[in-house]
Amino acid sequence: MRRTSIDPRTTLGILLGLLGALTVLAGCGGEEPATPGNGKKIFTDARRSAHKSLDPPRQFDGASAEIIMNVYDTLVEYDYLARPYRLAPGLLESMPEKGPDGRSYTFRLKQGVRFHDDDCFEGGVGRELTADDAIYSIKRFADANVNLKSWVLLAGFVTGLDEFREKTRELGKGVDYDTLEVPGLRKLDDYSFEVEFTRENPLALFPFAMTSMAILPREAVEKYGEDFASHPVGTGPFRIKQFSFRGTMILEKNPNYHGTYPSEGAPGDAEAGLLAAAGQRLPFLDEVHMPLIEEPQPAMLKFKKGELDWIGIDKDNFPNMAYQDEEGRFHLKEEFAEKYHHYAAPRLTAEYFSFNLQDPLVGPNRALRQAIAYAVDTPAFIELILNGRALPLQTIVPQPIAGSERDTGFQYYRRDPEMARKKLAEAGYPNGEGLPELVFEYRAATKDARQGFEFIRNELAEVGIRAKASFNTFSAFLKKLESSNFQIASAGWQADYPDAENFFQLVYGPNRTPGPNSSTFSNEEFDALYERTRYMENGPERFALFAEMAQIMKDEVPLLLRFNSIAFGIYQKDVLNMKRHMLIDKPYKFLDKKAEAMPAAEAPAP
Amino acid sequence: MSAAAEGFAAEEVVVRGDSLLRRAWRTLRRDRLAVISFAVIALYVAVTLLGYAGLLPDMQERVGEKYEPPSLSFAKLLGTDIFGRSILYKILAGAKTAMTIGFIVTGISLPIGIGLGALAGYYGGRVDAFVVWLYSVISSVPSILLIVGISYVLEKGITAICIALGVVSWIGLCRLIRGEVIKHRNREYVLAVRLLGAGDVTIIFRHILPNVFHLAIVTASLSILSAIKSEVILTFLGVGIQDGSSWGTMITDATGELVSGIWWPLAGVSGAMFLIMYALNVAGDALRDALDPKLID
Repeated sequence: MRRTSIDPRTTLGILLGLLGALTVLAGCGGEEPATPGNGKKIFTDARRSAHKSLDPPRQFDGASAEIIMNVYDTLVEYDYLARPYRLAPGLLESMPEKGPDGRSYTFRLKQGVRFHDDDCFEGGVGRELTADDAIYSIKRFADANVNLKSWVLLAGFVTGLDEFREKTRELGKGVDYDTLEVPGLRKLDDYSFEVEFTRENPLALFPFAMTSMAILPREAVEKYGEDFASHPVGTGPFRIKQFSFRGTMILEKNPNYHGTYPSEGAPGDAEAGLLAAAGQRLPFLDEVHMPLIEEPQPAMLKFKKGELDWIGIDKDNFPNMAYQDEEGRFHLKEEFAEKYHHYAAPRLTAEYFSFNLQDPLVGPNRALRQAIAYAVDTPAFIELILNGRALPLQTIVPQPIAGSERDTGFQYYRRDPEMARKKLAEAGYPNGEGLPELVFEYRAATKDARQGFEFIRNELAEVGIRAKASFNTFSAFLKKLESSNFQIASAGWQADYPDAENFFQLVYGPNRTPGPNSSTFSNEEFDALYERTRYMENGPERFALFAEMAQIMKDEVPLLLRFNSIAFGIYQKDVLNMKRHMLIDKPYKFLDKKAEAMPAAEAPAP
Repeated sequence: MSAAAEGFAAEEVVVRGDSLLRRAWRTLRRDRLAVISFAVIALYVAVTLLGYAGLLPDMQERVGEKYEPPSLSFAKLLGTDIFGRSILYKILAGAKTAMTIGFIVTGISLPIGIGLGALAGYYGGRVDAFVVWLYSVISSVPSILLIVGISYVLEKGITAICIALGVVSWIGLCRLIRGEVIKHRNREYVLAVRLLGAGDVTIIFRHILPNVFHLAIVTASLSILSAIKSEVILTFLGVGIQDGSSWGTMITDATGELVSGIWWPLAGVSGAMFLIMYALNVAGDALRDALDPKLID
């Protein structure tokens, strides 16, 4: 009788809690399966997080961009099929034409492009897009009261636009843009305008492809005010049928869309069936359903049930579903390969450890940084922690971008414990004696971050270097970086545009903290090389200078380069035209689904 | 006179305490499940002490390939993890962390709970109002938030966890002791020593507290248990122990591994937690039965 008073809740509660954490996630959701009804082509793709704002210049996060790139258009956009990545005309008839001075470009808009039908227009019918809309949108992008996040990518590029931004800051909200002329933006006629850049600059057109520079109508901004962020009116391939912040966002086809499917592709695209739709009018899908599913496990269960059409494979599911062969190629296991297609493509990212050169320990001691570089085994890290889904970085430039090691042939450090010990002795700490514990800062407190660190700690311990980690929230991590209050930080960079310059600027002296150069590296020789290559066209001359810059980065080790991760995803077999593009995260307008097949015969074969 | 009173009091405590403990010991010895539970607790304490003596095997050492299932070699008795480290060694390191936190937190919360509870109960009035206000305020803040807050201020780690848990876990005991002391303060034996001229401190600590101390012992055994639980949960949530030597970390890792059919890390750590939790529960219960004067006869 006494035993009955033992509180079974305590022990049972823990066990149930653990099981609950694993299983309860699978039960939530309850979205209706996206069964294609009445012949409609419906594509279902989960969002991983909720968007921040659908007002183009007010957002700079992936979740918002995913929706905006399908509802709005930009003047130029990335070619869907071409590799390496290059720009193609979006709302323009052709790529902007460079004038004789080398700084002015003429932008010619397509004629007959109409905004989505909306109450903000007369009679509720979308009007035609003109050069005024483009100039208005560029000015609004530069408005200091509107754009707090992405201005830096165009700063200093367009004649007079920086001064315009300063004026808007002085005048405050609600400036009438017509009263403030920008010398570098000139309307030529209703369908063409000229943009004058401050100097000859091959990078100048990239910002015009960002979702935050999407072209939008003044009427909608004026009518909806703050609500414009949840009431987008664009010219894009889709418009919003059902707006939902944390539920299912539904996009429906814009029947008047102006775009067509590209008629040229990269080698192999035709064989892969990617050119079957060449030249056809976009989009092909009738609706895109975007339920919000934050956890990878329930999303995968839904995918396997056929309720999602496309999904990236997370680390935990990877070993069950896929494998890497000896040559490094990825395959789905047989049972999944029968049901799904897959792709593996390197992202435009670089992961590295940033050494704070202001730190009294690692800052002045180059040999110590080199010892650490010799101690870590990046290929083994990729194999064990990332299931092989990354490429070791040889220079700061990730592989898909021109100027990477494919063009320079440069080789970075390889693990060499002997050299590591030698360098450690040279640094003044033979066998690690007298070396204080190093502190690594991480940008998340996740399991992956911790396991990643445990791997590094073991590698370092083998040569006598002790290390501990501090796992931060992302905002706390950024604060430490911005205030140079760290020793070694596990940081990364994702390309804003596909050019090597965007990566080398991470160690350019004048970009020191609070800029993106978090290690505060400053080297005259490097800076001079950077400035020379910055505005150069890609080619052997530029790549040779890149190799020199890579050598300085290898000798000085302001950053310990690690890896360029690979995106691995799977999609249902009836999805057509899928080619993973790292700068078009959600290319819904190019995707198609096979027409609804006849239901499979239910009777077993005789 | 005061010397006489003290002598009298001391004698009384010795006589009462002795017989109470002896009786409790007899009761406990008869209960086999309780004896086994105490043995389990002793085993965990021994592991902890071995850990501090540096005699536990190194959990960072790679003893085999990654994800080896349990086999008969000692290090691989519970299999290996992603780095080929022994799950068993990790569990032992986790046991050391868990027991350390259990004891330190109890060591912090017990004196605070008893001290404040006794003062509030004995003096009443403003002292009581202040103590009641204090614990009401603390308990009005969701404790998980308070703990997360404290561990951010103090940098994450074992110290922060101990202080954070210690600060919030004295409240239950304080309430209990306060109530008991209020009951006792006007009893005849208290009035008698007061008439004999004993001071407040003597009355509280030599006369009243020994009569309510069995509550503290029972609470302590349950407090160790809840501290261990909280540590595991906090670490699971990512705000606890950072160096990997925690059951919470192992559970976090295991959630993903389970999908791939790697069950032994979760099984091992759940088993280890179950054992100590169950033992502490049974022991706490047995102690209450043995020490509660109402159940003695």
